[in-house]
Amino acid sequence: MSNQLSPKEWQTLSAYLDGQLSERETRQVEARLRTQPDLQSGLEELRHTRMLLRSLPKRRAPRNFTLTREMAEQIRPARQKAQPRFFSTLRLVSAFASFLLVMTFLGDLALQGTTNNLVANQAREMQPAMEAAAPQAPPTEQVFEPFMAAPEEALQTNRAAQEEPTPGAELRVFGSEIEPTPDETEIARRMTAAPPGMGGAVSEPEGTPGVGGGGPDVSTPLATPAPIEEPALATELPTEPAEFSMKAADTPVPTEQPLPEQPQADGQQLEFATQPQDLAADQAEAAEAQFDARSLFRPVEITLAVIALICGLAAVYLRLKTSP
Amino acid sequence: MDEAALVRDALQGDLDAFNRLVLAYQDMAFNLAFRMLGEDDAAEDAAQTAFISAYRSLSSYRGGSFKAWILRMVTNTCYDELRRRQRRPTIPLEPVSEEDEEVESPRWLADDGPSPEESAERAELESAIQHCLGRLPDDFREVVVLIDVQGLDYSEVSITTGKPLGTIKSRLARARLRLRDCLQHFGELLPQSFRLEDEAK
Repeated sequence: MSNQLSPKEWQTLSAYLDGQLSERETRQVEARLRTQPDLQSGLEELRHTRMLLRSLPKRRAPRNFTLTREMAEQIRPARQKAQPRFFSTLRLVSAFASFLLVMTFLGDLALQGTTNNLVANQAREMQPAMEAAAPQAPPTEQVFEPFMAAPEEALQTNRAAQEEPTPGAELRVFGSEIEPTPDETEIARRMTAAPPGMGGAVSEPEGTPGVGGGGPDVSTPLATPAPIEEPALATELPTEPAEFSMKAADTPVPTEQPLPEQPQADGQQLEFATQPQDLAADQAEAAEAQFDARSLFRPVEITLAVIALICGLAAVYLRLKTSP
Repeated sequence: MDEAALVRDALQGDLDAFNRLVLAYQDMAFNLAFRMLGEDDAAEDAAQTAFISAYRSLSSYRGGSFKAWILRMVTNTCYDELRRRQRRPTIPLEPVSEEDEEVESPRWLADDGPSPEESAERAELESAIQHCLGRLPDDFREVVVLIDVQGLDYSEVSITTGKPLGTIKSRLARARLRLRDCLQHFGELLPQSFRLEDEAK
């Protein structure tokens, strides 16, 4: 016997015997068969074994295995009861209700997260407003006091603010980095929209190179709706020292560029004094509206959960009851 | 026989259509069960059970070779029977010696092999082959019976067994090799050509 062959060679010979090799494999096997007697004798052994198996007589069924009506009736009710009419409907409704429940729950969670963020933002924004309202708060005093004072005092204060960066300016720089909210932008816009002569380069006498008048304002990109005009303004001042221009560009000062398209009235100063409270009221209303929307989720979630549970339990009950 | 039409009618509850399919495949099913189980009665029961299972789960038929699908029912039923036998072992067919060792003698098979329908020599050879088939592992026996006895091709066997073609090739080669080794013990019963080669070696 050809016991020297490896299992892989036996498998190849067996597949070759049945014509299950590819054309290339067949050529390789035939080439080896011509030169390797062991391989050839192994092939013959497999061929005889297969011949013996094929020579086995085909046993005929001793009787018919057809199903009688009675047998079919015993089988069919079980098959039909396994899928009752309402089973698929209940299963579908349960699955759909479960899906809606999950989606509603996710929406609730998302809304809850939004509300929390809103409350946090509100608290964060209320803090500087409250600090500004307090007269003993020195960092914000220089920013908010001019709006409450006379224009002359405001001009002096604003000039002082231009000479050295104020904490309010630092706050603006920080705000510009963290992408202020629209409300913050509105506050900044109203703060910068000071009465004429409060620090705009246009109102400076003899064209003094004001800090914010000549150089581009890099600190208030959102508060200034027309930033393209500022470099043009800088080019209109050729006498401006280059050193100062660099300084102006590097020094962020928030309150230098008036907005010509939104002329300010004196009454707006008082309006701004109450802006934090209005802002808080608006945000409270928004939060309340979202809270009302969230409160609507509860009955929807409960209803969907009840539907999913009832339909699912009914489907399971039907399946258990009708299973053979 | 329009097999697809019969299957479609059977799926709609036409018992006559299903029974026509049964008549078409019952010999093949019984033969497969007999080669797997080695007993007429067990094969008969397995074939009947397989057709009942096929009728019950006809809705799970997804097209393709209905023969492969129905033979899969038969092999699954045979596996159930073989597992039942393993749980409840019966008296072995082979005689055992006083030391409880199996006596494997071709003469024993030759002497006691019943051959009521065919010649004694032919029946003895069949008994020898069946004896060797019975000594194969179940999954090897399944493949070699389906291919070499039933005449299915590799792809049909792959569908019937749910195994890839590579596994089918491997199992078939190993089954043939084991059968070759086993049949060498029945040299006197083998055809002349088989014996001459064996003696030449």
